[in-house]
Amino acid sequence: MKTRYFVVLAVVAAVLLAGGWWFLAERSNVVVTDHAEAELVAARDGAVPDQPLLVALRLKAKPGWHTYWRNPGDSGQPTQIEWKLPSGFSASAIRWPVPERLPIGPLANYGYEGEVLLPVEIRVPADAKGIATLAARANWLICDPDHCLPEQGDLSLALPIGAGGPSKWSPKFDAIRLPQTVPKAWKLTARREGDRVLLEAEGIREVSLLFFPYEEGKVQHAAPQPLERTAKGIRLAIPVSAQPVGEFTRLHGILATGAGAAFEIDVPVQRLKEAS
Amino acid sequence: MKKLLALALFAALPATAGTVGAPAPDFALENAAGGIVKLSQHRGKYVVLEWVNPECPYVRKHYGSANMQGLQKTYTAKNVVWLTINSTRAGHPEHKPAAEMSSWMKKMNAGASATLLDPKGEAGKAYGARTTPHMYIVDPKGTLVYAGGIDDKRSTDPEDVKTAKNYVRAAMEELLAGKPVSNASTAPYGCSVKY
Repeated sequence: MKTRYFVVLAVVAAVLLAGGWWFLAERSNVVVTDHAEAELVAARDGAVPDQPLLVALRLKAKPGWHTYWRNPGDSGQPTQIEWKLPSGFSASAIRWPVPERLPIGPLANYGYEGEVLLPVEIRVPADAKGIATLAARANWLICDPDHCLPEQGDLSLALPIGAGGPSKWSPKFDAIRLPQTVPKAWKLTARREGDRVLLEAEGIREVSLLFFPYEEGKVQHAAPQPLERTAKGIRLAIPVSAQPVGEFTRLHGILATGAGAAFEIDVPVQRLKEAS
Repeated sequence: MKKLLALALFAALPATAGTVGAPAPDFALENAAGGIVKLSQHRGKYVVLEWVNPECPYVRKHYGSANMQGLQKTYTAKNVVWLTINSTRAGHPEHKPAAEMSSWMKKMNAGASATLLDPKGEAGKAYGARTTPHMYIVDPKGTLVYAGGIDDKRSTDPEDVKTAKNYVRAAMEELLAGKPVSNASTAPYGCSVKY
């Protein structure tokens, strides 16, 4: 009995010493749908006034099912988050992680299989105090190669205001694959040649590259993008959509390398006469 | 360069599929009501092509709200041919044989001129049809004059039909008034066509 008493006392003391974190640590609800589970998670277990806080929609699709990137590819729909935040708080748009190209017959989707964290930056006001409850309605389309279903969840995350520390989700935040700034050594140019856009990059020695456009109606989402070596780097041939929407003036999107890196590019597409 | 061209031939859909301004590919498909329907037999009329899959939530949005049937009835009443095409492959869990497609369209009180079956996906691929719904308009000379979405509100919510800009209606109104189509190529949205 005495031992138990001391354990309880020790726990209470630890809680008091830790400023109540043990009780107040982030609380969130997990919504389980037919094909996914969804939850709001934070990178830290406290929100610091006047400092940005990374929060993510954690969406875990059942095996074989996927959710969508900002450009869903040939079909589908990007996941949406509608925030309901306390006064003075605001949320950025989703900082989209690098997607996968998911072939579906002759078509392709851009999205995420399994678990993905879709991060946003929450602005925490300087006068925030107590516990902040961040709420959101998330809408996602979830598909396997045979079926598509819209799903949604009402989610909330209660976070104490105060310093806190890295949360248990912090390693997953660190592992989110966000596109990086293009290395300065890379010299990128793009030109239209017939029904392809040729992206030339000096200073790159990658053997495998894939361009993901931010906009639909620009490239053939499912088509191979053949890579050739040039004297100074590489040339990636990106087939243009047969059903173009608007002018193809910029190669704006993500360039993912076979080595797992990804870079955000925005390169003007020059219209030249047939080269070669 | 030759190597690149050779690789480009492996592109998943034909590179020229369903491009506005190009001749609309002809097809001969089984009519769910019996017989064969060819696109070319309707030369001289406007033809609307609608890709459908009754199991798709985006299709259900436009049928559940009677949006699609409304368009079908409005334009077939104006001498426009409306062909609803299902390219779901035979053997797919969402595939519907002729009788089932007919009874679904009847239950929906649809107003299409014909419901066509494309279980091999030949017509779908020739047009580069990617989604259900995916909409096309062929002019009386057989030229493709519209390719894209039904409207500009990508969702499965029938309520959105009320506030969306309907591209097919806008295009048909312009065409019937003898004007070119302002938005002739838009982004389609929906489920993938189950090739």
